[in-house]
Amino acid sequence: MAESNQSLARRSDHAKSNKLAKKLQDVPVIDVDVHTSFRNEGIQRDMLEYLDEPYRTQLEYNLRPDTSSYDGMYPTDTWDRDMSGKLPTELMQVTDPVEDIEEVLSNEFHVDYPIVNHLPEFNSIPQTDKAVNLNRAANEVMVDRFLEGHDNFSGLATVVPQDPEAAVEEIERVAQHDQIVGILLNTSGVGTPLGDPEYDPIYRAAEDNDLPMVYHGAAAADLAIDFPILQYELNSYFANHSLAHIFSQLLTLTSLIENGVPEKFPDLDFVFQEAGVAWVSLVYRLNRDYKERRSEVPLLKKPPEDYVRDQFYFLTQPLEEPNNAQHLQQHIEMWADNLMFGTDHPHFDIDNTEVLMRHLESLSEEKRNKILYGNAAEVFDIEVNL
Amino acid sequence: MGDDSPDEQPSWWKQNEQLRAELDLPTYDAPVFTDETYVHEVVSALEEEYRCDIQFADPTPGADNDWEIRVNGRPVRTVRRWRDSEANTVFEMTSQEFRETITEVFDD
Amino acid sequence: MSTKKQDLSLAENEHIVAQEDELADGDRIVVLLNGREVGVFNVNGEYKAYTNWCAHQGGPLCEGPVTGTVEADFDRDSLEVELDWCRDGEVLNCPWHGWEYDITSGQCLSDSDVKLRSFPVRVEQGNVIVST
Repeated sequence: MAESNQSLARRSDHAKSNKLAKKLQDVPVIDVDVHTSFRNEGIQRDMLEYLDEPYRTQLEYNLRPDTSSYDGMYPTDTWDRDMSGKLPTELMQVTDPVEDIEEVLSNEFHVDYPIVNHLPEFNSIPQTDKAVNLNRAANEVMVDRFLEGHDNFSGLATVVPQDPEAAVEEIERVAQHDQIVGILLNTSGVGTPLGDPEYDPIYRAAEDNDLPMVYHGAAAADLAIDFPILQYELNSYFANHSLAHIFSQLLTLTSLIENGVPEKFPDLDFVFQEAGVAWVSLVYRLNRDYKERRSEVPLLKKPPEDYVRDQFYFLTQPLEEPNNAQHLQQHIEMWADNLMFGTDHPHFDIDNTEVLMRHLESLSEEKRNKILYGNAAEVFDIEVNL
Repeated sequence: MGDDSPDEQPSWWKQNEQLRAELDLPTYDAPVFTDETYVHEVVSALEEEYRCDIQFADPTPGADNDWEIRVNGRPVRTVRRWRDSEANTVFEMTSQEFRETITEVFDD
Repeated sequence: MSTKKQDLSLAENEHIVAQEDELADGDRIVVLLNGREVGVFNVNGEYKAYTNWCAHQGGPLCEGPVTGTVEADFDRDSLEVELDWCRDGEVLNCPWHGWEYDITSGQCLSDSDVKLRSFPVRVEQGNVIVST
């Protein structure tokens, strides 16, 4: 049930008929990062039936109009994200798959196959049982509300890393659903970095069930666990948001490599969302340090870059903006085989598909199509009509 | 800078260049003294003059950078060795000092 | 000891680098031969000779610490990693950036594309002779 505050402008037919739009009409497009408005009341109410007590009562209490919303449920912070209305960061509420996803994304962004996720923030909930419960309910609602009956939709289920055993159970459970195509981990607020051996059961379960791992950071309250200085000592959300996503992903990737996770689980793929493409140059430094300290990480049989090129993928959004656009071009070309397209709908910093196309023009059609749908179709096992 | 034209280069020069190129390393230059004269030129001349064998060797690699100058197999003096920015060898003495070292051996 | 004994009739590219008893198992020496430094090792009773240039940036690799190294095995069922300290006395670590080489074969452990060329070494009348 969408609210009426749609601030996405509808494009004129003239605008829709530009040559890049024409190219995209013939190509299937998979959008690897579509968010629901998880904290929307409608979605939260749907969760109630899937929650055990006392969490069901807790959530019900928090949804009453006379309580301050979500105190005791979900973390908040004091950054002025929307700049008091100058920069609305959520373009719309996403609560209905047809009105809020299908119609918007396919009409405006040529998306044919959205992959949806909630990106909830459960990492900082101290009571692990509560986090596990809320998470399970969230996954149930994902299937019920957004996936079933919408054949071109896929979804990412989340697991909470605090309880690897429960995460394994959840993976086994959600793997039953055809439309669940990956396991999402919120990388902000994990404490122990996500490559640590304590998470090996999660990776083994994902590999056993043919589900890729997906990593998404958040410039939000949970970040304080890993990077308290970012959350409490910086002076602007400009700085916090710029660093939060890449700090979390730099740490996650390094941790996966140092612990040999891609070597331990060679059939597992790792997909990174919402950090752009430039940070991946970390890998060159990892190569050098690896050659200097190989015997400290003896599980690795190849340099870090080899694992990353073989098993890791990166969403292009949000595309970086060097002064010289050619420089972005070069980054894209360096990593073209490992890129995937995602809008990050409904967040305002969407990369328009056509804008992305302009940057992909120097690539061959084959490479371009891998980014628009080929890599995602293979990694997430999505059947695409050509 | 010691400068051997290709005709004057000893037969092993090309092999050393090739070994360097195989590993993608900086350009080869033969070992020099601190006054930038080539070690092999000074050594050849002295070997002929005194009809002897002169060798540079480090019998304790890794302990320090002190090498031995050996005449007919016998160590006569130590000399420090280091590598320049192109990984080429420099012995820390002038060619004059080296000549004096060898001469002293035979002037007893 | 002369480096060119008449009764050995050495070729132009052959050099005596040491006496056999000076290079016992575990010993090494670096010598300037034909314009380049060559490290000669006695490893497990066998002589090996390598140019003293690391494949990384040309560092004096033959002078680095000789140690062992670590290898690891992962058991997917138990999720356990077993560490194994091995090749003791057979691993050469370049003193500049720590690249590892297996002295017995010249194989670089830090970069599997690199293998050092080793030069022939023989013993005659108690002399250790290297061909460059």
